[in-house]
Amino acid sequence: MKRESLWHTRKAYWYIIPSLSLFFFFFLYPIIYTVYISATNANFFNIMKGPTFVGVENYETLLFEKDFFYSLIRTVLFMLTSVPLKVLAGLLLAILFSSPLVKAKRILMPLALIPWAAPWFFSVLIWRGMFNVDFGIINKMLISIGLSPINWLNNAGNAFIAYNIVEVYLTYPFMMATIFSAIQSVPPDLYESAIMDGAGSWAKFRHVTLPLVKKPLFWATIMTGIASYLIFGVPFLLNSGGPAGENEFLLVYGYKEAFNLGRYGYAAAFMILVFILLAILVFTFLKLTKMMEE
Amino acid sequence: MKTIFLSWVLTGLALLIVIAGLFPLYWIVVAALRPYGTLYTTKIMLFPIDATLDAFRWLLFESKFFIWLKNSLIVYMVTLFTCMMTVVPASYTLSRFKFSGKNSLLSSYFVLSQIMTGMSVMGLIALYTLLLKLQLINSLIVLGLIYAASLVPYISWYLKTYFDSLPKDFDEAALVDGASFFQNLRYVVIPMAKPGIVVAITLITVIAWSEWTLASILLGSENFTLAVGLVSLQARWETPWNRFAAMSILYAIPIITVFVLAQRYLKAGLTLGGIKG
Repeated sequence: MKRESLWHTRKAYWYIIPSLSLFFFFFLYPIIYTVYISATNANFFNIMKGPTFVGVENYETLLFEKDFFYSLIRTVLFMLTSVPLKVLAGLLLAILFSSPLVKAKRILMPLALIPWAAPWFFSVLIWRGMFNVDFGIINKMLISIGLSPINWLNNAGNAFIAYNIVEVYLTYPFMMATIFSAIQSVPPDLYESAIMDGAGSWAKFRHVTLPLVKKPLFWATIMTGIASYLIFGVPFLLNSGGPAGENEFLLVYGYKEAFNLGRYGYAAAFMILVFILLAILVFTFLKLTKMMEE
Repeated sequence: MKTIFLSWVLTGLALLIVIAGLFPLYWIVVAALRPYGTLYTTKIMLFPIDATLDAFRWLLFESKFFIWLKNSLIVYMVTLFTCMMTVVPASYTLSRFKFSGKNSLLSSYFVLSQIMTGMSVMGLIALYTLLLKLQLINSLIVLGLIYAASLVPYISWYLKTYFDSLPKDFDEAALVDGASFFQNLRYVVIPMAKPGIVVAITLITVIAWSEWTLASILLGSENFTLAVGLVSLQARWETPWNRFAAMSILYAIPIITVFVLAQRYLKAGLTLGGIKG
């Protein structure tokens, strides 16, 4: 058998098909089925008997109610605060841990990454305990240094801050590891020649490190931006997007409409809109990356 | 002199960050050792002077811990087995063979793997209603298959990039000498790809073990996994913090251990899979 023809064979499809069909039947098909549900009046009571077809009625309701736009604006606001915080935290930590001045890095760096391993919902629940207004450790600390305790989770503004704190906590190991390995890949002689040219620390960072870590930094920003758009677990488990639904981000609102109120058809239409916006977002990002590469 | 001082300040700062990052984990250990109800005092207690193993006694003898553990293990085994059996041959094929449609499949896998958690929340309504109609709801095996399916894009992408980094010579020689596709996979490729396979298994383990969102909707209370059971302890008006903390520790220790052991491989794996694409 010739070497070239070895890798050109129709059999290749047979080796792909099992994984593809697994993905299709147990993941993609339900997502497509969402489109059908969104065109029915499916709810908690009629789901077994068979809901009736209502066309675009759910979408009309969505666009005339203010709920969709309210949670969209809330979500965009969360993206605007959490993404810069996450990127900045990752960048600063990566710079700190790659500084030759920091000692015992071989011990400190793996320790700094441990929170990454803790299951996310488990960390969120611990934070929920720490944010508790009466016995949470955060308020105890505030009191002990003479400040007044903060009602973290029963106030929309404070809860919004709490989400940002927890989100940064959950993502900093990933951001830090990504940017750190990018900084490590900068060849050291580039720094040496920069020092020869009389560059200070800032100039070294600005003209040597930053251009080389720009691409991974950009990718990490996009990924974490998408994660912020799809934020669900943090607000849902901290105070279920509360208080009084004031912090119901897109997925939290859709989830609660479906599983707390049983409005499957309406919630499915909502999710489809969220998905369309996501597709536009991802598409724009991919275009931006292509433009950056050229 | 100035550099030495700066070096100490920066090292101190790094240490402070490490401590802050690990603090929630420390807090949960302290909480597990405190007696029931004492967490409601307003005093800070960094070291539990009234330490007791009550919570652990409750966990081992009175709670549903072992039922939930068994359920978790069933889901996990189904996920791991199905995912590896289908994805290893597929990702090897994606790495080596040339066929039309390959590039578009790979780029959709890449995009999908980045939005998977959000996608599963979006698809959950349809998944729930569909399984309700087919009477497949509340099945640990079906949940395992769903997890495996949701991991296909991520693991395929990761293993494909890993196989790309291996030299072609050995498996090509085996195929030229007349080995079948699966013989080649079994005796040549998999032994060569052990580090990558270990990372893939670690990723599957971490993700399947810590999934809560789907399990909380698709499982009834008799079939709770550890993740759902753990959250259910908190859902009441008054959370038994010491019990919650004790169970969290037993739940999280295996996964944190796996992660720490595989960390060296993982970092390379994650940057390969997630960023360089």
